[in-house]
Amino acid sequence: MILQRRPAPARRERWALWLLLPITSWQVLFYLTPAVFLLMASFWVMREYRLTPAWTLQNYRVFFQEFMYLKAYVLSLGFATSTVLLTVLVAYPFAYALVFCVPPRVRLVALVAVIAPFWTNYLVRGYAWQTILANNGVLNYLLLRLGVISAPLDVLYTLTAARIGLVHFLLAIMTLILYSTLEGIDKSLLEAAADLGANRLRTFTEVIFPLGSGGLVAGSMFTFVLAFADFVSPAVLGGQAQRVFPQLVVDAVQWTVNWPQASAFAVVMVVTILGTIAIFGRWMRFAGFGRGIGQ
Amino acid sequence: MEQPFDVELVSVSKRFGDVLAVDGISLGVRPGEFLTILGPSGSGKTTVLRMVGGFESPTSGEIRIKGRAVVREPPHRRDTSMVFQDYALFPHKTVGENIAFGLKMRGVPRAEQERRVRQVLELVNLPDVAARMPSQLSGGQRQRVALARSLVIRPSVLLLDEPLGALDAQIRKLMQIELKALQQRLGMTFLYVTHDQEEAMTISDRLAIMRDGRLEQVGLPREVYERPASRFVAGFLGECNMLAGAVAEAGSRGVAVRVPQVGADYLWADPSPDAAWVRAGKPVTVGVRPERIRLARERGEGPNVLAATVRHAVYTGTATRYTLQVGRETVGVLELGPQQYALGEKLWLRWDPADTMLIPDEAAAVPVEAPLAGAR
Repeated sequence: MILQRRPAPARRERWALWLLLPITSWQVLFYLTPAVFLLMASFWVMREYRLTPAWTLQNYRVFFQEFMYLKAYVLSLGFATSTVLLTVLVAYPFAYALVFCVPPRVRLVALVAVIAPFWTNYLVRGYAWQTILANNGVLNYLLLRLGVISAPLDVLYTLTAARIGLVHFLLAIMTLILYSTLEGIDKSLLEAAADLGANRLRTFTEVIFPLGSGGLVAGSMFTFVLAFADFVSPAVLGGQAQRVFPQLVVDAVQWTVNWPQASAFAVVMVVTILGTIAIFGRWMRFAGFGRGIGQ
Repeated sequence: MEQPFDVELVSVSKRFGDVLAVDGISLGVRPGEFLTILGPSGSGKTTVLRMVGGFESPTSGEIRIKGRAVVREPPHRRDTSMVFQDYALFPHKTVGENIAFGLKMRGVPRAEQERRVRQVLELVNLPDVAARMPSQLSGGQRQRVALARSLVIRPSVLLLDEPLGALDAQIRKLMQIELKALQQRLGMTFLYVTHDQEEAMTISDRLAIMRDGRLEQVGLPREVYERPASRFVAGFLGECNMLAGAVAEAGSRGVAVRVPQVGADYLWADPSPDAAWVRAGKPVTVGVRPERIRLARERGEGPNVLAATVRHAVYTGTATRYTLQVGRETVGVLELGPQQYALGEKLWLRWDPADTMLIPDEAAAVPVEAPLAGAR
């Protein structure tokens, strides 16, 4: 019911290959080739400000030996994890309410409201959050006027601010994935649960949550990858006090102009992301995704 | 206190927007009874069942289960259980977990759960599947699991929403017999919904026939088949020849109906003491089932003998279906065995006045209980 496996075509159509060609060649040309080059460059060195082919592990040694980089890497993992958790905490109840609690007309309006920020450039939204979170910004103004706080909160240029901006960005993705998964749950299953004596809470824990777990895992995977690699929110809202790993990669490119070093860091990130996808992928199969439920 | 009904609906209506899906229905289901609500799709039968189960709330009217008003109660606080048309088995739970679900919700200890799951699987003739996933079962097996899942919590009333609708004909016939046997063995009250009149006739103690949100007739299968309260019921339950006429005389000798278009003075029916509306001058429809009419080459004696010409004949294996021209009407006749009469042959057809059904032009209001009291 969640994902119906479609029957394989009886006969492979030769012309269908042509449909695959444009995207495949694009990917090979502009993604795979640079990726291979990136991998190669991570073993090269800079000599007299020029990228020079070599075969050294020096760039990776820097990552493992210099505390600053390892610390930023671990910080990034924690930052991404906490951001994903926060996103789930906000998106899940919202998606649940959309699917199970509100009339269809409200559902449409609310969905549009969630997706609408997507039409605004992410960087622009970062600046918008600056005006909200700044010491003399909208948030502090309101809280001071309401008497909730007596001195302005130092939110802007902390990881908390970065997290807020990022959650706002990821919310749309997470909500849409959760929404479509929960929407796909057969309503008669909920009626059956109620019929057999389950109240709303038990219906959630016994039926909705397990059947929606595929979407939860998929959403978490997507948002984790985006959060881990995100540079915009940490740079615009997080500032320089606590710098996450992507910021150091950008530094290596922009300030020290050390391409091989930046490449090695990038490879570390790609490996991390692939590892995460592998783990989530296993988990997803476990959660029933692609098992052909309902066949 | 002993309740006369396990389920009682009193003037229940349900409106969806502009559509009146159920229009003032009153119906009582007796303890231990297998009552089937029969009707074409869109007649409101499933809505009635869903209101009893608590999945819809009536716009007006009262529903009582074991004498207790339940209109405001959610499904999990009603002493009913529903077997859904598409089974609604939890795809992420094993068969055993599916069946144990209701017990788990009631806080039944694990060992007891397992014992009762085993027991109920035996009951539905499906041992050794507890560890499997629903997706690994056939349609018929899933149906049994759905049934077991509802039976295991021992509800006062089992609600069944076209439970055999998705099965193919052979398994369907088998399940009908099993379902009926199971219901009798358990002495449980079944409220069943179907659009299949043959299925309804086979398994039910009583039928309630619905049309456009209203009850057309409630009664024993035989009663409803042999004394339909409306042309709709007569036509919906099997085939029926219907000839429009007017009552000429109603007395102790029987009822004579003028049906000028068939070339006889009168058609006769047995006297019907319970049909007070049968009075001279009243318009009436004469109904005769095709299998109650006999064909002959010689004209016999007695009432209800009509001249006919064979227009069409189809041999179906067990019987031959004739279409005959009778005056200005067309009459269908079903005779056992292979075709005996040629096309164009002139015959006589006749039937017993006891087999004449007098059908009012409009359905009379059906009282909840009155016609049932004497029926059992």
